[in-house]
Amino acid sequence: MQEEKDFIRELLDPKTQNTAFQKLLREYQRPLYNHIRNIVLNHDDADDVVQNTFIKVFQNLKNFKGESKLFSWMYRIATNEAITFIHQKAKKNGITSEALQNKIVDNLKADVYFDGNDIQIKLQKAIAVLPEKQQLVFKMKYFEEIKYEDMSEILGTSVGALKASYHHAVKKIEDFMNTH
Amino acid sequence: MKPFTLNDNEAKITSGFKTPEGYFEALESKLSEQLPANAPKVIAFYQRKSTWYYAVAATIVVLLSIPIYQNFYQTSGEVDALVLEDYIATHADISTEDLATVLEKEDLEKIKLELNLGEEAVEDILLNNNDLEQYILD
Repeated sequence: MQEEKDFIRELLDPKTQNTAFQKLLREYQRPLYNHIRNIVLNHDDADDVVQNTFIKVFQNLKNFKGESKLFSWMYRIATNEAITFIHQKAKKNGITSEALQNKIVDNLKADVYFDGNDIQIKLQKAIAVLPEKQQLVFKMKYFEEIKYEDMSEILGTSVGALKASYHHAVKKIEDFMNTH
Repeated sequence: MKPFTLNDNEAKITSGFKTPEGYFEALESKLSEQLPANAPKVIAFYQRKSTWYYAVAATIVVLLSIPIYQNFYQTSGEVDALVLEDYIATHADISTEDLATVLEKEDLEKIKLELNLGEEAVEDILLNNNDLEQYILD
């Protein structure tokens, strides 16, 4: 924890800022990008959101109280940014978030930055019909392998509720995969 | 056919997402450029706003001062009556002809009225003026 406080101090000090921020980027850009990409599905959108996330992280570092881990705090920002992005994009297109996600999943085959097979596409389709929270929990647990304790800190939900959510998501996905 | 399950025993299905080559290296430098230390200095909007306030205030002051300025110079252009009197009194070479050319008929009438002396005053002057006879002879 002290190490993290020192690191935040380095991030805020103009003299050590550049080196500290590069360290932060190297450590978190890939997991945060993957997390965002799993929500927004498209590379270009994920690129926009990941940049906004890091800018927000940097702008708000001085307000970071250290009540949670830096990792969880950054994931929380990334999650909010990605979900807000999806909602705004759906609104702009005059459709629901679910309809938008279905549309993106339908276009995955043509996406140059997707090299999945039919099973992978089907799995994305099964996820897209889940309620938003279940989608999030499933993706974070199944694809990103985030521990329930960390997920609880990121999403502000109890571990028990997260486990129940994941269990429901798995059942629905299995049903979808077996019936479609 | 074996039903689909997401058990831990089953091989994990990956997301299938990939990124352009060199994406993360480019992202790192792109984001580093946006750091406050490296980013071009941004002038806050409120600062620009205050400059506008100063500009508007200065314009108002200038506009308001125009009539005051004009008024000041107009009044100072008028010759003070006392100064004029003093000038005439000290410049004895100004003849009555000079005055007559300057003064209008109305002005002369006014002077005449102002100098409307009573008969007693005229008698007083005649009695007290010893040189009067000399003037008559002349």
